[in-house]
Formats: sequence, structure tokens, C-alpha cells
Amino acid sequence: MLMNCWRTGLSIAWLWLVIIVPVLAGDLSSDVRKGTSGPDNSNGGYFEVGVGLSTYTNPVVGMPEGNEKGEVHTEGFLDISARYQYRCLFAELFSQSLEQFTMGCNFYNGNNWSLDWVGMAPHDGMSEEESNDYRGLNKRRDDFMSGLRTTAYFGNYIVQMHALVDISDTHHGELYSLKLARHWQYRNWTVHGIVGATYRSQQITDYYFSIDESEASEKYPQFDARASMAYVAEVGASYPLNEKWVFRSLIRRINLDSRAMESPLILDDHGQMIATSVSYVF
Amino acid sequence: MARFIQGIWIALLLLPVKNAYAINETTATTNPVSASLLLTPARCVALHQGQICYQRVQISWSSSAVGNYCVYMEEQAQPLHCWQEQTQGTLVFEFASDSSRLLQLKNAQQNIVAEASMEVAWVYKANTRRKTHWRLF
Repeated sequence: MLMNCWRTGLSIAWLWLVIIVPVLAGDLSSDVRKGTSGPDNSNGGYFEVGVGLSTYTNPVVGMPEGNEKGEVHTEGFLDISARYQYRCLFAELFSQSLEQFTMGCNFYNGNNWSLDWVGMAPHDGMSEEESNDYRGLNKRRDDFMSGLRTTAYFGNYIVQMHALVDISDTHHGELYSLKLARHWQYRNWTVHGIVGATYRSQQITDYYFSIDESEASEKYPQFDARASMAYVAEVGASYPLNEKWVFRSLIRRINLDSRAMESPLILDDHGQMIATSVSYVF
Repeated sequence: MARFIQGIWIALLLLPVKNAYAINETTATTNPVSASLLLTPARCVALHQGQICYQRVQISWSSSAVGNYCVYMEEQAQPLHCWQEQTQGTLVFEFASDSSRLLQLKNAQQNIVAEASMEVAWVYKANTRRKTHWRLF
């Protein structure tokens, strides 16, 4: 039952993170939390596991099932941070990051910046199996996008850009994002801040948030989505309880532009999350 | 269920307590004067290697002979504190360093009569940067 609780929490957190927020690199989110000031592209990896509690509002219909505008949800989640690299190939999984899972190849390393070819699934599917709120709607599939990720380190600042295209034959859309992160140290606390913007082409928003004539109903009237922007702001703090345990917390807000709000599948122009966790570092 | 979750949280929160009150003590045995220096705690943990680690540390010292003593951080000319005609003393100071440091108890002749190490540890090691730039496998 406990595992179910965690699994549900993680699953909901994933849905929320993946579907509505701008893509944010696990790399960037992870690096800024650790207070690093350069790329880590060495062979090998690390693994962390912990438990966390999140309180959030989600502007997307059906996430979770029965979700209403401004409704606050509280869930436990399994906090996993893991990265493994062998030569140029790497895989990353950061459950508190906005990007969750990324795989790719790191093919350039400067002193302060790196270039990666990455692949990820930034948009989760929407179907009746996921939520009864989607009953009567056509199934939206998970996608898989690939492209370039550039990360630059300037002292305590990290800048990251993504340029991704759909390679899963799901929507053929394009996604571009730019994020700026910074960390500060106050005694043994590492405080971080992230701001970012993500552009989604019309193909993506149309696939997930338009309502076709064939699926239109009184509840979900016909709607044609256009390309849209989303913005994220986050502040958080990390504290080493000892050499193996780390406490983390964050507050995150995502704003959608007004055009996205017009979709019957969007309830609000923003979502928010507060999360805390304690993780064991192997 | 709620009790189970509560139990896990309590267990997680208690784990770090084990190391928080470790002490470090060294007694100088070669000196005719027997003296000891204790640090509580004797370990400071930073998040990332290379960060300055901050820790409020209590220093306690004692000596078998009355005298003038000073506590120094290694490689620092200025003492952290001095005592006159004493056999023991305590001091609380703010440790801040990116690496482990020795603290030393010196007598009036500037001889080290006892020392103890303040260990700096971290959760994440420093990144390894590659010299090569372009690469494919």
C-alpha cells in the first residue's frame, strides 16, 4: 500500500511535470542543486533514492482524475536521482527535475560548456486509461523528441538551451527552451533559482490540447490550439544532513500564455508545486 | 499506514544525529605535560566538494600543568583564543574551511602540546573535467 502511494504520487508528479511544464534539463536542475560550476562528463555514475512530499495545483484537466481549477493535491513520491555515463553515452533520471529522464551522447566539452545530443519523452499521453476525464476524447500518445542540448557554466550561473524535434511520429512538432539557473551558498545550505521559457510549436499544442470535430462534445467543444509559450520559475534549497543524506525543498510555478488557456483541456493559466524530500546518496 | 509513514520519517530524521556529535580528541604523549584537545563536533559536511563548510565547534582543552595556552588553527599566525594561568578552557568558534584543518593547543613556548583535526567531508565530489573536446564514443 505504501508503495502504491509512492507510485501514485510519482506517477502524478511525472504527469504534471511532463505534460504542462517547460522542459528543464535534469542536468541543469541537478547541477544547480549541487552547487556545481562545471560540466561533469566523466565515466561512471551515481544513484540517490529517497522519499518526498509534494503539494501542487495542476492546470491540466484529468491530472489527477477529477482535477478542478485551483484544487490543491498532496502526494508522497519516490525521489530518485541517477546518472550514468560511459564514454559519450549517458542516461539521467531526476524525479524532481522538470525533464525527468534524458538519454543522449555528450560530444563536445569546452572548459565551461558542453554539447549533448539528447532524447526524451517530454509529453505524456492522455487517454481514458489514464483518467476518466478523457472519456470520449481521442487518445493522445506519449511522444519522443530528440535534438541538441547546450549547457554553459559561468561561475554560479548555468544556462541551458534545448532544440528538439519529434522523432516518434506523434505530432512532428518542435520545442525550444532556454533556462537560466543560479546557486548561492548560505552556510551549508545551497539555495538555487531557475527561470526559463519554452516554446512549443503548433503541432505539439494542437496534438495535445486541440479538440477535433470528431471528439467535440458539450464538455469539450471544438478548439484549435496554436503555438504557445510556457514560463517557469523555481527556488529551492538543499542541505547535507550528513555525507549520505540530503534534504531538499523547492517551490515551482509555471505560467502558460493566455492562448493555451483557451483550450477546454486547460483549467488555469498556472500551476504551482511545493516539494520536500530526504534522499540517500549511494 | 499513517504510523508507518511517520515511523519512516522519524527514522530518516534521526540518522544524521549519529555523526553530529562525534568528537575528536588528541593527547600529546611525547610532551612531559599531558594535555588534550577536544572538538565537538569534529566533522563538518558540505554539499559539494570545494564549498566552504561552516560549523559551530566547541573546543575543550585541559592540561596537567598550569600555564598560558593558546588554541591555533594550523597555518594561522593569530590564535583563536588564549588563556592565562589555566589548566583547562573551552571556546566556541565558527569553523569555515573547504578542507580538513588541524587545531593546535600551544603553550607559552609555542610548543604544540595537543592537537585535533576538524574533518571536512561532502556529499558530492568535484566534477571531473575532460581535457578532450570533440568526441564520439
